[in-house]
Amino acid sequence: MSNFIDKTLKDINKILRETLLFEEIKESFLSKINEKIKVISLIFVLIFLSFFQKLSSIIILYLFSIYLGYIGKINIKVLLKRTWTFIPFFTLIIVIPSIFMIPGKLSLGFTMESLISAIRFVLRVATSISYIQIFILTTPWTKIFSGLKGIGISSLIITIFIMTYRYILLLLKIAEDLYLAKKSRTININWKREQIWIGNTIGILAVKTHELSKEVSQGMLSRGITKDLIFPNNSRISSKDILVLIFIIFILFILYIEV
Amino acid sequence: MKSFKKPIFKLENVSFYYLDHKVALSSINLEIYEGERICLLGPNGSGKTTLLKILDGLLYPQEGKVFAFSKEIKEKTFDDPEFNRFFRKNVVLLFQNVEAQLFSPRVEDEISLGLIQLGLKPEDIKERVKNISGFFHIEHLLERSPYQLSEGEKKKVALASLLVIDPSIILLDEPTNGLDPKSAKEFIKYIKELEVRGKTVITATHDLNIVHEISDKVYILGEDKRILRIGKTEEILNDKKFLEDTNLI
Repeated sequence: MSNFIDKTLKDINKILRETLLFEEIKESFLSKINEKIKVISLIFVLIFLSFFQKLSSIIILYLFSIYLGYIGKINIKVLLKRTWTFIPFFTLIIVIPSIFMIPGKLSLGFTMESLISAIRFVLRVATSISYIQIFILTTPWTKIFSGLKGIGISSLIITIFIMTYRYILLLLKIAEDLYLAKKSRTININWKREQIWIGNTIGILAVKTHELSKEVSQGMLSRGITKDLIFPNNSRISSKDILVLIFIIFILFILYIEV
Repeated sequence: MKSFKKPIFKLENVSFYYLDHKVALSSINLEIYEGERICLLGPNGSGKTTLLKILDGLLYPQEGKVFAFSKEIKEKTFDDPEFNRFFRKNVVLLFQNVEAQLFSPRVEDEISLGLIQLGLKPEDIKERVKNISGFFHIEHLLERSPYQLSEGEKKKVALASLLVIDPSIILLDEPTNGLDPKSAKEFIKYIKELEVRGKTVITATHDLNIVHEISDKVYILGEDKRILRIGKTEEILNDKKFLEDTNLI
C-alpha cells in the first residue's frame, strides 16, 4: 500500500484491532484481585488523575502503571503500544491548536504555560489508557462485565457495551473488505474519484450497519440473551482485595497532596 | 422414515413480507416432528433463511399461524421468561453469517455464554466447555479471539456455542457455505453425529451434495417463495427433471 488513503485506512484498522482484541490472560497478582475492587480502583485512578496539576504526580502515576503491568505479567511492549498509539490520533489533534491560544510569556509562537498544559493533557490521557489497558489485559471479559454489574451498572447498558464492541470489529471487517474489493478493481488512481468513493462508502457502511444491527440483535435473541443478561457471580472480596484498594487510594492521596 | 407423534413446529398458511410488500414466504404449510432429519432445499432467495428465522422465533409472519411445542408463537409469547428460557434452551439456529452470533472476545467466553445464562455453576461450565471443545477439536482455540479465526473455525466455534447447552432442535442455515471440502466433510460428520443422538436437525441449503447425508425428508422451496414439493430425500434427488426445473441443478 503506497498512497495516503491506503495507508490511513490500513493504519486505523490496525490500531483499532490491536487495541480492541483481547489477549490471553496470564495468572498473576493482578488477575487474582476481585473484579469489583479493580473497577472501583480504576474509577478512583481516573478521578484523582483529573485533579492532578503537577506533571511529576502524573508521571509517577504513569510509571506506577508500567510497574503494575510488569507485576501483572503483561508484555510491556504491548502495553506501551496499546497506550501510545491512541495519542497521536486523538489527543494531539485536539491539543495542538491550544498551544498557540493560551495567553502567557511568548516564545517561538507558543507559551510555556500552554506547552505544559498540553503535555499534562496528553500524559493524563496516556495514563488513563494505560490503567484501562492493564485492567483489560488482566481481567477476563466476563469478569469485566461482572465487575461493572457489581458496582450497579444495569445489564441493559452492559449489553449495549457488548453489542458496540461487536459492531466495531464487524464494521472494521466490512470496511476493509469494501476497500480491498474496490482496490482490486482500481487501474489508475484519481484523487477526486477516491474522495467520491470514500463518501459513497460511508453511505454504504451506514446501510450495512443497519442490516448488521438486525442480524446481531437476532443472534443475541436466538441465544437467549435478553436485557437481563446474566454474568457469573462476583467472586468474594477478600481482605487482600481491601488492602489493595486502600493502598491504591493511599498512593493517589499522597500524589494529590503533593500538588 | 420413522413415524412420529408430536409435531414440534406447525406452520399454517404462513406468509412473510419485507418492507410490507416484498414477498419472502408465501402460504407455507408444514409440520415438523421430533427426531426428524429435514432439509429445506431451494435456490438463492427462495426464503429458506426467513423460514428458519420464523422457526427460531426471530421473525413473525404477517399472515398465518406458527406453533411451536403446541403453543402459538407471537412476539409477545417470548415476553414470558419461562417460555423464552424453555424455547431458547431447546431450539438453536446456526446463522449463515456466523459473525453475527459470535459476541465474546474469547472463544472460551463465547462457549460459556449460553451456560452462564442457564445459571450453571462455574465448575459445571468448565466441564461442559471442555467436553464440547473436545468434540469439535477446538481446545487449542479457547484462548483466541473468535474474530481471528478462519471461516471453518468460526463455524465450529459457533456450533459448539449453540450445542453446549444441549438443545433438542438444531436449525442450520447453509452450514457448509464458505467451507473448504475437508472442513465441509468434517461439518457433515458433526451433523450426522447429532442426528444419531436423536436431535431434530433442520438444514437449509442449496448444496445438493450434502442433502442425502443429513436428511430423510426434503422440502423444496421455489423462486415464487412457496413450498413446491415435500418428499423423501432419495425420491427427490432422483427426480433430475424436477431439480432442473427448480434451478437446483
